[in-house]
Amino acid sequence: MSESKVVVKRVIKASPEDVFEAFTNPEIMTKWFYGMEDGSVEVLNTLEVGGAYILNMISTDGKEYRHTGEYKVIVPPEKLVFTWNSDHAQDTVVTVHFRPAGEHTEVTIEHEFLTDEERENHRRGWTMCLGNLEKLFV
Amino acid sequence: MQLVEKDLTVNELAEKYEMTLQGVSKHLGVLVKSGLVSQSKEGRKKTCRVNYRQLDRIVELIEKYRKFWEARLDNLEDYFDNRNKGE
Repeated sequence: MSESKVVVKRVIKASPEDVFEAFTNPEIMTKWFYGMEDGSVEVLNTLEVGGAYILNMISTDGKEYRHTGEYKVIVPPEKLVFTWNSDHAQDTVVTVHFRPAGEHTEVTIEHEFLTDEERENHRRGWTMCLGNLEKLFV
Repeated sequence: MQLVEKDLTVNELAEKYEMTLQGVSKHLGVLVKSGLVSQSKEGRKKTCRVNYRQLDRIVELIEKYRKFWEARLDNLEDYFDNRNKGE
């Protein structure tokens, strides 16, 4: 199941240090990490491995969408890994890479939707399916 | 996968693949655990079916979050564009 994740990339006109800070400093996060148009977000975080974060996205009609997780890897200004839980996705993992691109930064966000166990089960499941398929054509 | 075409019992699967019941059960166990196949029991008959819902769930999430992260990066770009203009 290689297609169990989303990968998005973008070059941002700022240094890796500044972009990394934009992903981790609550004060800056409130300026861009909101969801709906003209919505807002409240951010609380403890930026350390094992530390938690809460993103409370609020839409213009006052509905709240709570996202929570835990930091797994923090390597400024190169890499950030955190778990992601929401109404739709539980125990998912987000990895963000910050790579220098000239004077700018290429940001890559990978959002993986399977837990390690699920991924392993899927891998075994699909390997078996392919094995069976092969047998059909022997 | 025979199950894609129709639901089958464990006996039918064993016949199709010329495997022992034990062998089929072992393989099915992995597929059931992964959520790709579900089993239901009627009397002594155990029927297996492909669980498309598990696959659909992931496809839906991927589409939803692709839009989500693209929109976040749009905002991030705007934030730095405005900041750079202000400098």
